[in-house]
Amino acid sequence: MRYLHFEVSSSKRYGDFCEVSLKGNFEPSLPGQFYMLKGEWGSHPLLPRPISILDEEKNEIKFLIKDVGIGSKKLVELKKGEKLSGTGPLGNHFPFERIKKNEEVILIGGGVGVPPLFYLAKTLVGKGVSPIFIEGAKTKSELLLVDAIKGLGLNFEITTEDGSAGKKGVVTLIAEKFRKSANYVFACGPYGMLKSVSEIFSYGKCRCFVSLEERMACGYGICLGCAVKIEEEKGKERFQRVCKEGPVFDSRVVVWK
Amino acid sequence: MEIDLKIEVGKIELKNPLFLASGCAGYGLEFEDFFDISIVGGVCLKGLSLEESVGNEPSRIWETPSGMINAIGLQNIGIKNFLKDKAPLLRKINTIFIANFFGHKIEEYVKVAKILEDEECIKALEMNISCPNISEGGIHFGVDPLLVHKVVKEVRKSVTKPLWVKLTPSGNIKETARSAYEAGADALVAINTIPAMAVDVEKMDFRISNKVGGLSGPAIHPIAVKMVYDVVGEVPIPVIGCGGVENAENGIEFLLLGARAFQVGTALFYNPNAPVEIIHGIKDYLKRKKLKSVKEVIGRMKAKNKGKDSCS
Ligand SMILES: Cc1cc2nc3c(=O)[nH]c(=O)nc-3n(C[C@H](O)[C@H](O)[C@H](O)COP(=O)(O)OP(=O)(O)OC[C@H]3O[C@@H](n4cnc5c(N)ncnc54)[C@H](O)[C@@H]3O)c2cc1C
Ligand SMILES: Cc1cc2nc3c(=O)[nH]c(=O)nc-3n(C[C@H](O)[C@H](O)[C@H](O)COP(=O)(O)O)c2cc1C
Ligand code: FES
Repeated sequence: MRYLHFEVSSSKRYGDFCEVSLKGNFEPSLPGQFYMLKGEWGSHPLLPRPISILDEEKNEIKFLIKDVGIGSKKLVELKKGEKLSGTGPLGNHFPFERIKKNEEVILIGGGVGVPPLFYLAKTLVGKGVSPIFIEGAKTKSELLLVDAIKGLGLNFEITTEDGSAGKKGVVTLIAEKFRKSANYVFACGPYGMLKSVSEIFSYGKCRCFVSLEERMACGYGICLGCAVKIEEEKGKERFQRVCKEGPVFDSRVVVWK
Repeated sequence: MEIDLKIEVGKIELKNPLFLASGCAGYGLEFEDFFDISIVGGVCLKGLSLEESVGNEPSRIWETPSGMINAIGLQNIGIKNFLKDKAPLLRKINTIFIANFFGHKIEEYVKVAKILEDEECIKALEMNISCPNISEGGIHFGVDPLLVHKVVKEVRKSVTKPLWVKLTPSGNIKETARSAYEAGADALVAINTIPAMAVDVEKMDFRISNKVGGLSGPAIHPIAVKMVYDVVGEVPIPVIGCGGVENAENGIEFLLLGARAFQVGTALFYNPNAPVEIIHGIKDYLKRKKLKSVKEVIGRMKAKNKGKDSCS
């Protein structure tokens, strides 16, 4: 982890979303890790925003950011050449290292949970593992990274709540099919989606991991603001930090709300 | 020209007047990826209590214009775990560590202080009195001058290490400062966070699960400056300024008004490099003002401090 100053090398806008590429001398990252990003706009907003790494190449790092409020709006409006600061890479990562080529791996993403899963999918494909990618959205126009995911040449399934693309319904409709066969499940997206995924896969031989969100101030473990309740041992619950022990947690230890 | 940043707070000599504020610097071990922790004057560790404390339910933080509200709930590993897991590591680091601590009863304050007294890596004790007193119906120790006197006096009797008292901005800070001084405090820190609240109008609910939290960051800086001015005028012991410092200028404001040192808290969250920049900035300021030592800055405006407050 480092605290760095970056320059925006490109910024591509798609509706509410923006793909931002930064140039800088950053440390290598792993899928599931994130940066705390802040532009040079002074005290409002004051705190940096946590954004997952979408992809990384030599001296260039990419993010996909959705405009949902004051901080993300400023980030998506950054233009090529503008400066910003960032701390990262932060947090743990999706534990993919031990996955074997013949194992069944399911990636389930929705909304801003899709970018870190794209990074994971790309890494897995690089290792010779071909995961199944399930992406869900409310409607077709909110689907993210469809061409990029297709480009990886893996089994890709889409669901939309209004049926405007892929299967009509939510991701768990498709995920259900893999209940008995999946070896690994990695999910990132809205809380409700993660909870349902966890209900399907938190038993048997399957290892299910979810990437959680919580409001953050520092992102590097010192403020204790990003607490999430985790069952550390049977019957023993404790707060852990989403930014440090997470954001990726074994779905079986998360104490779901 | 060699620039001298050394200062003293009572008997403690410091490399420079910059402390990392309690709760914003963990246990002093979390910054090694950003800068060498031995460059700072001192580190105030996360508040310790007798027993481990799990902290509040989320949501614990909410951002406000130029500030943030937190209700972490004084989560900490407890004094025993601190001595076992953290203290041995701190002993190897060449900077001053100050142990921030709290209790919910006077006896708890005394017990923690006595344990800290024997730990060699701790050079002073910083009492957080912004805590509800469960023996007296939950009223905060820090707002009642009589309670402040009582709790500080009991701790003072039981330890010999320098005792700093961290004042809350709630209540009348001149009175609580005087009480703490008369009860034997060696230095005062002003200020802790300011009680604050925010409401989510869509969900019609509180933004923070604890409802009330503490406001910190640049938003509170001018309030802290006024309170440091008040406390410096009230007591003859060293005062340490705290609240919204994010650059050298903010820290120097406290020094000019008579604070001996200052602390940096929330700024570390959005700029982990802030201590390096601030120390650099103080050197630049001294050069620009053709001053050799930061001591020449401390209290330089004190003569101007005199005079009555008037209505604004
Ligand atoms: C580990 C992690 C990785 C993330 N990765 C990405 C990413 O790759 N791309 C991306 O676009 N976003 C990502 N997010 C979410 C992003 O950080 C928030 O959308 C952003 O902080 C919102 O800030 P804002 O100032 O725009 O919103 P605000 O103005 O502060 O709030 C606007 C609305 O967004 C909600 N909101 C704010 N922060 C969060 C949060 N952390 N989680 C859920 N809801 C929130 C608020 O409740 C409010 O309704 C990630 C979050 C985390 C914790
Ligand atoms: C997340 C957080 C945790 C804190 N924890 C403590 C604590 O344990 N003990 C204490 O005395 N003060 C604590 N404080 C208060 C700070 O030390 C400081 O007094 C206050 O935040 C004002 O300074 P700032 O504006 O520079 O942050 C905490 C502040 C924050 C933001
Ligand atoms: S955001 Fe500060 S500890 Fe996680």
